Amino acid sequence: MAVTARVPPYWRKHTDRQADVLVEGSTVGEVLEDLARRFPELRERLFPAPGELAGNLSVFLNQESVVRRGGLQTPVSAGDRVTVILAIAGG
Amino acid sequence: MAIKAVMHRVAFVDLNSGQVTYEDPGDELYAQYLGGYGLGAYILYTRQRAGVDPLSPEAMLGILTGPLTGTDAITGNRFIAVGKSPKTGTWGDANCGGYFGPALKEAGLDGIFFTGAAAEPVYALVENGEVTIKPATDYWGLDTVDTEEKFQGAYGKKARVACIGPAGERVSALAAIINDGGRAAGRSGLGMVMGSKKVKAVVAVPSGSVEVADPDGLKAVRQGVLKEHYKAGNPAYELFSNYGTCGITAGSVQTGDAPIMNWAGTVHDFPEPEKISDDAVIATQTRKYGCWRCPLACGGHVKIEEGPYAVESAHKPEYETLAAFGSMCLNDSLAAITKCNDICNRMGMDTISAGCTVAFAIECYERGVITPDDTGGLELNWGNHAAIVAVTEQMGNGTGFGGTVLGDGIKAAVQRIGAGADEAAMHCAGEELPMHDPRLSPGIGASFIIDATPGRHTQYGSWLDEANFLPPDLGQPVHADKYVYNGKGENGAYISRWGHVVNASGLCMFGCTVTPAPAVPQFLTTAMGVEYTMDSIQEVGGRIGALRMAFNVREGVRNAIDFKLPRRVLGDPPLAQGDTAGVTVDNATEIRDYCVAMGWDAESGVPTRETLEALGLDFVAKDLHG
Repeated sequence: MAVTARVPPYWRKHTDRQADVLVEGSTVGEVLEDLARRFPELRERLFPAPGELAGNLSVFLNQESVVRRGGLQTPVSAGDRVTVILAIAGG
Repeated sequence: MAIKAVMHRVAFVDLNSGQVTYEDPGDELYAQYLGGYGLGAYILYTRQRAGVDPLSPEAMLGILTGPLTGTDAITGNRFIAVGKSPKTGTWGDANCGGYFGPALKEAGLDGIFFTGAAAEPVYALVENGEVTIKPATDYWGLDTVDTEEKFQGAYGKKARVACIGPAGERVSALAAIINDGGRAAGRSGLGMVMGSKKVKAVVAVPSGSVEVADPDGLKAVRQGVLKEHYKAGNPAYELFSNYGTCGITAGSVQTGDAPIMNWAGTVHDFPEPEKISDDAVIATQTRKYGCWRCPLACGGHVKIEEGPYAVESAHKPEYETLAAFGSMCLNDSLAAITKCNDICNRMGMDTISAGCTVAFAIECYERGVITPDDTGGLELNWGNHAAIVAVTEQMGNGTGFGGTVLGDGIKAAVQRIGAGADEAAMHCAGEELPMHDPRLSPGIGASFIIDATPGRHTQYGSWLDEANFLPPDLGQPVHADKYVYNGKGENGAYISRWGHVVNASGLCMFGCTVTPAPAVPQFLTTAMGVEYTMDSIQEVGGRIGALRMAFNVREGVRNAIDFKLPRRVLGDPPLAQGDTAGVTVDNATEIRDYCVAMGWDAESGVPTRETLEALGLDFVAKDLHG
């Protein structure tokens, strides 16, 4: 199903400056995999090892983190938004 | 052997008499305390009487560089103001980049200290290692941008200016020391101290250069780090070089790092943070701005083309400003935030304190603690950006409700407003809290209390580990779960000692998220000609941290006992929504563990005799323990 993936600002040079990308998948992991397939520059940034999300990233499904909801296995619904955030707090 | 990379010259200005004396602190002090707030803490501790009123002529105000300021060390461009904070009654410091720090060194000084108070406004002109005190009557009343332009008209474009604006002239507790038209040494209320002395500005006219011990060695370290780390693919580099701190704003609202609605809200209350973040901000940027020789260049100049908040050219708002005037006030008008940022810079106010004070006032208004009769008709509702800009202008001008009630920050405003206001007062010991939430990174709750400067985010600790904000290869003790509060002390102590060295060296904490940690002792070694290692700088950092805390103890302050955070900030009661829902922070356990790891008393935070003596601070041990 189609969901929106929101890309962190510093990655948008690899997505033709798109902040929101329409992608396919039935789980958060599938959505991110499709994002990496469409934009290969993002693969290593998302998954330094196959199936393993980079440790410096946080992923949100709509307004809630997926950490407490099943991680990459969290199911998504059509129209959802999956947001990838570089988990830096500072500035 | 004379240590290199420092000028061996600190000026002491007596504003009462106009007399200026100069001293070489000597190799031993430079080696043990470096510079910045390390050397500053030594000088204030040994020369300023305990219990001094920070706004009295007797109080000292220092502006210092570090040994790496003005050298090839990457991001070696910082200066630090030091003094007793009139806001908290504790040790105070404020760190700033731009071009002023290198210029002060190239003008021949490591630092300048003021005592006394001038009868009429003055400025200090620094040229060829000499300080001349001159009348500033023609500059008094000007905003910081006009002040700098006028000084550069008089002394040339190379002249660099650190000055106060009208807020500092009024001795406002919100006052900052501003340079480059919008870089701020904003915290601890040191602009207020500068204003109390009637010092409008320090003008540094650079002419010399900074001699280092091993120029080729220093360049080699620099080049190696630039090649390996300052490049695409490094997340911190990509963030700072492409966006600056505005790039984290939306993400920080989403994760819960950015406080929302005066610390009571969640992302559900501020659902479109991207309006004040990353690409939206960059769309207003007309040109990038980098501090002196910085390869990140995270700053920028922006323009708001039209509308009520049109601004021709202003500094790009930083994350702290975007959150303080944005998510804290439920204000998603980027133009209004940019305007508030420009007002603060020009009037010389700390944007964190000013924005948080506005958020406090909005909560008071929404609760009915204050009414339109109090505010002069300003409707201080959440998100009312017109009122937010108007009240910020008043705070800057010292007029109306903003000037007379809010113009000295939250703590003073609570006293002026009276009953009911305290519930909305989110500060620590009088310092408005920065935009990082302990419910996401619990370690910062401890740092807010147990660093010598309460309520600050540029002090290091375990929170920087929790926030993914550490340099590569720091090698600190690992702590796996940030919400398991026992056992975080060693981690936090290691990181905070490291941070004291970064701050005292004249380096930028942002650059030090990109630069690998071992490069810092290499920079110091090649610049100063003194051998430093990752282990030995831990000792230097421990000494600086202990001396800053001893300053507080001698003032009668026991941070761990005397200071508390507002319950709301620690998640009591916990948030019902958002990524940090349900979190209540056990701050007491974190503080206790940290104190033990630092060699400080577990209950009070007072450095123990054994710790002080082991760090070579016998004179402090005698003061504190007899």
